[in-house]
This record gives sequence, C-alpha cells and structure tokens, in this order.
Amino acid sequence: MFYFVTNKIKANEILIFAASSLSLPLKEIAQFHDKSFESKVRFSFASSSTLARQIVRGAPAHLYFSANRKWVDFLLKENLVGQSCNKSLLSNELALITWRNNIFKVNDLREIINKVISSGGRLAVGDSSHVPLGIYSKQALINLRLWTKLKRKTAPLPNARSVLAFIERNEAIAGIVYKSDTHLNEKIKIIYNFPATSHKKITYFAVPTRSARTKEVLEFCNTLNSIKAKNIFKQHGFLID
Amino acid sequence: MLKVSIKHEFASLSIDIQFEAEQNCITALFGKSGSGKTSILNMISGLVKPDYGYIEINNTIILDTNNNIFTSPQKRNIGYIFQDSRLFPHLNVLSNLKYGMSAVNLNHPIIQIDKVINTLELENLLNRKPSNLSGGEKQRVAIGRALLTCPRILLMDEPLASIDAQMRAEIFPFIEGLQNEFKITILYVSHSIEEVIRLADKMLLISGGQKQAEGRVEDIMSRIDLYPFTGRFDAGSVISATVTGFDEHFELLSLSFEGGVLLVNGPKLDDGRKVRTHIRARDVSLSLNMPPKNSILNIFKGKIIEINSNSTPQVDIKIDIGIPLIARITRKSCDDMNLKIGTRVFTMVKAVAINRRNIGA
Amino acid sequence: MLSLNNLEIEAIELSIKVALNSVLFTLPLGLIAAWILARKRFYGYALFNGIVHLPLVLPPVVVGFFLLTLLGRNGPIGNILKNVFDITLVFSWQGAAIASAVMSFPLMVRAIKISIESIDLKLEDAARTLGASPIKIFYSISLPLIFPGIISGVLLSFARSLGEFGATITFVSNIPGETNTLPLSIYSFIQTPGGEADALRLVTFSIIIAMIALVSSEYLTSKAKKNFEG
Repeated sequence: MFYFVTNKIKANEILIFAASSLSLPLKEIAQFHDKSFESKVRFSFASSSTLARQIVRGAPAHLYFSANRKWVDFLLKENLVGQSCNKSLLSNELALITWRNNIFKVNDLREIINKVISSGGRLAVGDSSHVPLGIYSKQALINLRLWTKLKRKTAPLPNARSVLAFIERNEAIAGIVYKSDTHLNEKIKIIYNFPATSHKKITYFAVPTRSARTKEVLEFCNTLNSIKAKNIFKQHGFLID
Repeated sequence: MLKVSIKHEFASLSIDIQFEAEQNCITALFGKSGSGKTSILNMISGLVKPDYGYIEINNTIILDTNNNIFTSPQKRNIGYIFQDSRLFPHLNVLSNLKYGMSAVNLNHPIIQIDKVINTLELENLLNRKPSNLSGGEKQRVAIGRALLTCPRILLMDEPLASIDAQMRAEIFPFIEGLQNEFKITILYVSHSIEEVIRLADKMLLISGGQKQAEGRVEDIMSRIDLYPFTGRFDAGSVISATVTGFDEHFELLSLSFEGGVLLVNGPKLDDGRKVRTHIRARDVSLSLNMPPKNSILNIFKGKIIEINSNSTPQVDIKIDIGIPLIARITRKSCDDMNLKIGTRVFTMVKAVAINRRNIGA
Repeated sequence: MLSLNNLEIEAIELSIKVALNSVLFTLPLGLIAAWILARKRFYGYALFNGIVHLPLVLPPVVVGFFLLTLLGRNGPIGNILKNVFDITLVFSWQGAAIASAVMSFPLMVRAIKISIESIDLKLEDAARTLGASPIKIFYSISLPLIFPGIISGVLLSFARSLGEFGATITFVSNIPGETNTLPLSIYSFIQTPGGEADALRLVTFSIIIAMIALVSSEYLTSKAKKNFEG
C-alpha cells in the first residue's frame, strides 16, 4: 500500500506525520520554509495513534510530530525514531470552553462544573482511553478533584474537532480543548484556563524516523527552531520558550 | 347482455370496435395474432383505459368516457382467464381458488366451490402449488378461480394456446361444460378456427383492430369472402345437425340437417342430440352428373350460388344444397366444367368432422 | 483467551441492541422508499433517488456532523424533539441507532427495490380481476413475493449497523454503557499501544455475530423461496 505513496514523494521532499492540533501553525511554517530551501515539506495530519501505527507498518514518514508521550516512547522503544529535534519546548495548555452565548462565571471552576452537572448536560472531552487531548483532560480533572463527579457525565470524542463541533452547537454545555484550538473561533469562548500544573506537561516532540533524507529533515528542524517559527506557534496559542 | 364500444390508439394498432354479446352465450373474438383481440379484452376488464369507450353489462354502465365514468377492474366483477394462467405461485390450488371469493357481490347468483371443484375435477390438486401443475391443470384452476368470483362475464384469452394438442382435447369438455353448469356469458379470444367452431355460438372477426364481420359461427364460416380472415386451410361449412339414428353394423351416425342426411363414422350418440359438424372445403368435390357407384357416402344435389374467382390456382364455390356448402376445386376444373352461377351440380363430401357434441339448448 | 470483561459484554449487548433498533427504523421507511422508487415516476425522481443513496457515498463522519446539526437539541428537528417530546438523541443509544439507520438505509432500500422490480406485474393484474383492492394486492401478493428481498435487506442493514463507526462516534460520542458499540470499542483498543489483543477479541465476536446473522438469513431466504415451490 505504501509502495504507491513512496513513488509520489519526490527526491527532495520530506513527509511529516503530525498531530491534528499542529496543522495550522505547521502549514504556515512550511510555507516560508519552502521559499528558503530546496527541500519541500508535505504533511499528513491525523490522530497520533493512527500515525504511529502507520509508521510501525512502514509508512514513509520522515518526521513524527506529536504530544502523545505514550506513542513517542513506543516508537523510541521499537527503534523506529531518534531523539527529538525541536530544541525549545513547544507546549500547549488546556482550556474549558462553552458556546459563546452561554452565561458562566468565568474562572470559577467549581461553580462551572456544578452548573454543568445540575443542568443534566455533558462535558465534551477527548476520549481518555486513547486521545491525547482526553488523556491530559482526565489528568487535569483528577488533579483538581473533579474526575469522580464528572466521570459519568462526559461525552468522549475522537478529536478536538468533534469537541468544538459539539460546543459550537451548544450540544454539550462545556468542553475541554487545547488552547491552540480556540484560536480565531468566534462561536466559542474560554471560561477557564487549566493551570499548567494540573496535568503532565503537554509537550510536542518532533522525532525523526530512521529513514533517509537526513539533510532535508535537519533543514526543517532548523526552521522549526527559528524565531519566525516560534512566533507563528505563539500566534496560534501555543506556548514556546 | 354486454354492450361494447371502444376506440383506442396503441403505438402499432388502432382499435375501433362496437359489438354486443348475448347473455349465456359463448361469443368468440377470432383473428390473427396482433389483430387487437387481447387489447379489447384488457379494455373490457378495465386493465387498460381506452381513449374513448362505452361499456355496459346488464344495464350497468362500467365505462363511459364522455361522462367520466370508469369502474376499476376490481369492481367490475368480470372474470378473466389469461393465456399464461397467472396462478399465484406462493399459494396452493385451494388458496388460489378461494382468492377472489371474499369480494363476491351477494346480489349475483352464487357459484359454489364444491361444484366448481367437481366440474373441473380439481379434487386431487387442492394441496399442490402451481409449480407442480401441468399446463392443462393450471388453466383448469385458473378457470375455477375466476368462476368463484361469480362473475357477470368470463373473458378467456386464448386459454388453450400454450397447451399441447392432447391436453387441449381434454379441456374442451370443461369449457363446454361451463355453459351448461353455470349459465355464464363468455367472451372467448382465439386465433384457432377449430376452437371457435368447437366452442362458440357467435363469432366476431377481428382484423387490424376492427370488426370485419359478426354473426353465428355457421353463417360466418359459409362466407367465401371472409376466408382470408378465417384461414384458407380450414375453410369450410359449419353445419348444425341432429342425430337421427345409429347403424350398429357399420357404425354410422345419421345426422339430419336442412340439406339432407349426413352419414358419419362416429361414436354412438343418442337420438335427438344436436351436434355441430365441420365440412372443409378441400374435402368437397363437384360433379356435373350423378357419379356411378363410388365410395363416397354423402352426395348432395345443389345449385351454385357463388364462385370466388381470383387469380389463385384454386377456386372456392358455394353451393346451395338447402343450406350453403363450400367446395374447393382447381381453377382448371372449374373452367373445364364450365361452372357458373346457377349451374346444377352434385357435391361429394369426403370427410365430416363432428366438432361439438353438445350444442346447448 | 476469549473470555470477556463486563465492559466488553456491555459493548456486545449494546451493539446488538443498536443494530436491531436501527433495522426497526429502516424497515418500514425502506419499504416505502423502495416501493416508490420501483413503481413510481415523478418530477424529482432523480433527486429523491440521490438523497436515498447519499449515505452510501458520503464519508460517515460527514453524515455524523449532519445528524448533529439536524438532530442536536439546537437543530431544527432536534429542537422539536427536545421541547415537545423531551427526547434527546445525542449521547444516547437511540442516537446511535439513528446514525446506524441512516447509514444502512440505502442498503435496505436497494435490496427491497430489486425484489419489487422482479414481481411479475401480470400477477397483480390477475389479482385485480379477482376483485382485490390495491391494499389487498400489496399484502396478499406483493409482500409475500418480496419477502426474500426484505430478509436480505434486513440482514445487510443489520450487518452494516454492527459495523457502523464514523457517523456514530461523531454524532453520539463514545459513552460507556450508552454508545460504546463494538466498532467504537475496537477502535479505542487499536488506538492504544498494546491494545491489539483486546481489539482482536472483540473483532472475533463481531465476526461471530455477523456470521450468525448471515447464516440465519440464508436459511430464512431459502425457506421463503421454497414457499413458491412444492
């Protein structure tokens, strides 16, 4: 199956498998990268688990860029990837969001959660069994001692896009997404920012695979570490030092 | 009494026909394939709505396009026996028979199911599915099924066409029996003149969607001008006769008719029985003089009243022997014998077929 | 190895419940749609035909989002359901059943339509001459004759519902006990490193259930067909 994909990738192109949450900033970065370098960048955005499994099965990706620690470790263990090449810490935060017309007391988490429960609605989250967003959300709720209350009131969804869809339609009264996902979305608003300490750091790792094109991969890594790229990430709501 | 007047344009045929069918009679619609007979039945049954039409059964109007009257087929109470029987494959014979019984209008005389089963000899078939029946058996069931709706009229569309000759001979008595047992009006479509001669009282000649002739079977068959329609091969006279005796020794039936007596090899029938005979023109020869001792039993004197002269090698001649009799001879013989209208001749009948053993009262 | 924990048994029961209910939805509506498509011709026929078959060609996730928009509690229809009947479809197994019903609808329609088209119309003409009204013709002639097609449609529908994933997860999410059908559970396992064994167990059960459905449908169809012989 991947035979056909390989043929389509030209000699100086690299294929990057990246988490969906990174799609907007990465596309912008790739644009200015392509102008300066001969090597061109192509992307495949999907859930971290799907991409990792594809790499296991021999997908011709050159870089795996994800915040899913479990899968990165797995790939490292299988010796399919090398150490990460992004030098600065790229991380994300969690935000509690709701439909723009809903009235909530901002930043009072307990109050908000009580309202969610008493209204009989559900909290839209990523599926904590396998979606990174869900895993981090669960961690945050556990640390804030809200998980027991909310365990049976969540709507586990496969990705951030689905969570946003539910919130935009006010189908779920509140939901948890990455801060970067709220960027430029006018149908929703943030009512609470989860403290960074409430969950394991949501850090993104760009790990090169054991494939050829090391020169081109290195070039892109350098681009990733440039100031211009850092600014782009910041603009999209990511945290970068 | 059935009154029909319909006009309809099909893609390949225009129908324009008016006729009446008498009660308790079998009226045949006879014509070649494609002449429109089946379409006429479909319009009488209501399965097809004609462009223009008026149909009345026993003073009830079931179709009048001028006044927007159209009774749906399911309300017309007209039984229809199709060429392909159309028994319901998922029901057994008994269920097929009973299918239309619940819709029976109690104002009509009821036809009893036991009588139908007896008359059509269906007792041993009741539990079978249609796929296990022969063609003849299927048609008998189809007839029974239609009868049990107590119809005012029975339409039969070439019911014997897809049945082999032997089975056809078996079923004829059943259809004849319908007349006697159930006193029902039947419209019978066929392209076989034999069937018509055997079964029908009246016939309509249909060609190109139009009625070419109409009348008693005997009269129509004696018209030489209609032979192109009725079929040249079997053309001949149809004569009704009465049994007046049976010669045991020679096994000869005496049949008395307006022209004399016919002596026919036949099974013994009771005196007084009315039968219908068919004398094919090709089986009749002519002689100007009384032939000396010869082997032909049936010789009748008569006068020529019509000669069909067209340019075929054979000539059809109508002779009045008390009733019309048709003979077919070669044109040469006709010339040699100088036959003309008015010539007195002797007609020699070589073969007589008894078609219908039982002409109803 | 093949023993299941409670969560997995729950997933199996839920899948069967959802699939059966989905068939309950699609059967009457599918029968009507199949009849219309097989027998009627009207202005807009092509459009109607296209809409019926849409779930067959659209990505399931797209259908899921569409259902969310339409049947969510703020959607045009979901609104009425909530305010008048107090029915919420999102987050419920009924919603999962609707998602499955929509996705499998074209399969039900096609199977039944084909067998309606194979009815010899002459039989219906004969029934008419025997005094049968259109309704009587339908239940005494047409319905028995299309029964094998209905069985086939039900099976296809059921099997499709058992495997329904994209529209379900998008419309009703993956709520344990309510909407975590077999496909959703299998997906969760596959997405976790080391979850292959668990996934395989559930896959095996999915196959077993589907095989049972297949075999019984073959048996029922041939029995129904035998009704026309012997």
